[in-house]
Amino acid sequence: MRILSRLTLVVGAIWLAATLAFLLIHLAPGGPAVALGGDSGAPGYLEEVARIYGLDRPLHEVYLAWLGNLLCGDLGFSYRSQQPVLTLVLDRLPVTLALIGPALVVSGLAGVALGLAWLPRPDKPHRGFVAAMAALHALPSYLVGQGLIVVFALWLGVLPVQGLVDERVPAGGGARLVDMARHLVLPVLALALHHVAFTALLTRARVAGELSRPYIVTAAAKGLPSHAVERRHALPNALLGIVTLFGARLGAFVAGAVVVETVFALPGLGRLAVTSAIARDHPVVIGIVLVTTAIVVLGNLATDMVLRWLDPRLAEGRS
Amino acid sequence: MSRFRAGAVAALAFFYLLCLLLSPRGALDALAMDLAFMPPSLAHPMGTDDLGRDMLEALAQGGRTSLLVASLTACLALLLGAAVGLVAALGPAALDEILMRAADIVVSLPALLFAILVAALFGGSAVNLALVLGLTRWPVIARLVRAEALVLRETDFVRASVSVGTPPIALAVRHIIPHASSAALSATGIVFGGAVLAESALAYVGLGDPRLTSWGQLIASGFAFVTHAWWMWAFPAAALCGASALAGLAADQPSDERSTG
Repeated sequence: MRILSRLTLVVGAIWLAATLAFLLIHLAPGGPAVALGGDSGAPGYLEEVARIYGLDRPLHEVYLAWLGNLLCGDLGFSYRSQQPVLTLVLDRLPVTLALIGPALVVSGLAGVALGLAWLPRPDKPHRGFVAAMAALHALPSYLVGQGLIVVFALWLGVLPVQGLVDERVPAGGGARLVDMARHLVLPVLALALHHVAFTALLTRARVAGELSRPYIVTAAAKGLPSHAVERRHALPNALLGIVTLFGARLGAFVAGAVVVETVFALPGLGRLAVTSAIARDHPVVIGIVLVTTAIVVLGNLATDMVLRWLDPRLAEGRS
Repeated sequence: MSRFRAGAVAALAFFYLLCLLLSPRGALDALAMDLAFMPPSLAHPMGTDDLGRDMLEALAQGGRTSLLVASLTACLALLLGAAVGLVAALGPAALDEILMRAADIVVSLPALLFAILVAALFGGSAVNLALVLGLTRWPVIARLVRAEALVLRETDFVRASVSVGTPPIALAVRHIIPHASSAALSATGIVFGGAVLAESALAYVGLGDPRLTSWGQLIASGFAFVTHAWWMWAFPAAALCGASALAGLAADQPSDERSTG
């Protein structure tokens, strides 16, 4: 049942994103033909665009054809690069995933570890830690990225400033992979640190909340050391809430990727969205909006699976 | 609302007024070119930029843009979110189900990418950005208002009021809203802070309102000179972080576990 409602969420979100994009194209100044094909100024060009996209038909037919095309994976045609949008998007997607994936892992693991290390104690409330994390959380990721560039790339010179590959490294083979990983260290950190702060504070609050429960008193009364009580007993119970709220931030990771890819000049989806928007290559922007919507809702679905694995009661429909 | 949060809201309002006072003119006036890259001095407390413009005035104008977008976004999201949250909690169960499903769907849309699409199609505009953010961020507020209203609905004083025949709208206005306002304002603070960051991010990547100065745009152009004219980068960065941190304090985020970003 829950999975079914999750699937309606996936379909609903993608449908809503597609419909909003359709509405925006038709409301845009100049009309849908200009929005989809640009205006070359050549006589008969816009009529040709309208014919190719089938815009000369009644609006509801155009809309249904639009949804149908999307369903078949046809995201339109980029008039800047003269390539199908899907090809462009699939070309850039691995870079964005290589940025978001490690950032998710780093912020999840580091956040939980930090939160556990600085649990509030009666004698030590660790207010300084909370203030530091709140301050880190207030920093936009591009500022963090710029700070990291200044320190690690310009001053210390240990990591590259920007880009994904160093052309001096021969293509193919392990050296290229190591080089790419080196180029991704700072962007991943820039994207992750904001969420590390959030996860640390969340973990701290949730585990501390569990620590006042009776089962914790029992575990402590059995003589378990406090770290075992916190890690084996309190953390698994607190993890449900942590994973739920962490999963709700997937959209923020995607939005963060847009600016981080700009700071570090990474050839990912976010950078493509920005350069296409500036070049008024709208079909590409729309394709990226739809693909990122799909990534976010599928990620939410995955979060739900993790929650069911963590708490079998959810799978049985109880609780 | 705690004194702490009230103080943060007051500080934001104070800085907004300060920005209005410090930037009476609409556009930045270029000074003489020989005044470019002046470090902070008495005449120009935050120095001048690469075109000899006063950084303090640029900063104040950026503050106006940032807070204009964030305030519009927060108002729109608060109105929509409070209305949806109240109707969901106090209306029929079927409507509640539909509204909360809709909220789940809307909140999973990538707001920043839609903002980029709107900026591409209609041109960068502060009002358009606030519309996109407000229309996609209201579920954050709606969920909290609904949760508060559901708890309040079962309290004795609300049941008593229902039993003497108070109509639903009067019930919401007189009993639910006053008690749910703290949670609603906390969520509004989250939306406000998110809008400050989103506005600066769009301006940073070059898709902001071309008619307005923005902290994000100042940070982007200042970073090009970060090793030569630190003030061009440091002051806008500090202003942006300050506004974002104040919004976080006003919302009691992120130590408040209700925050859903």
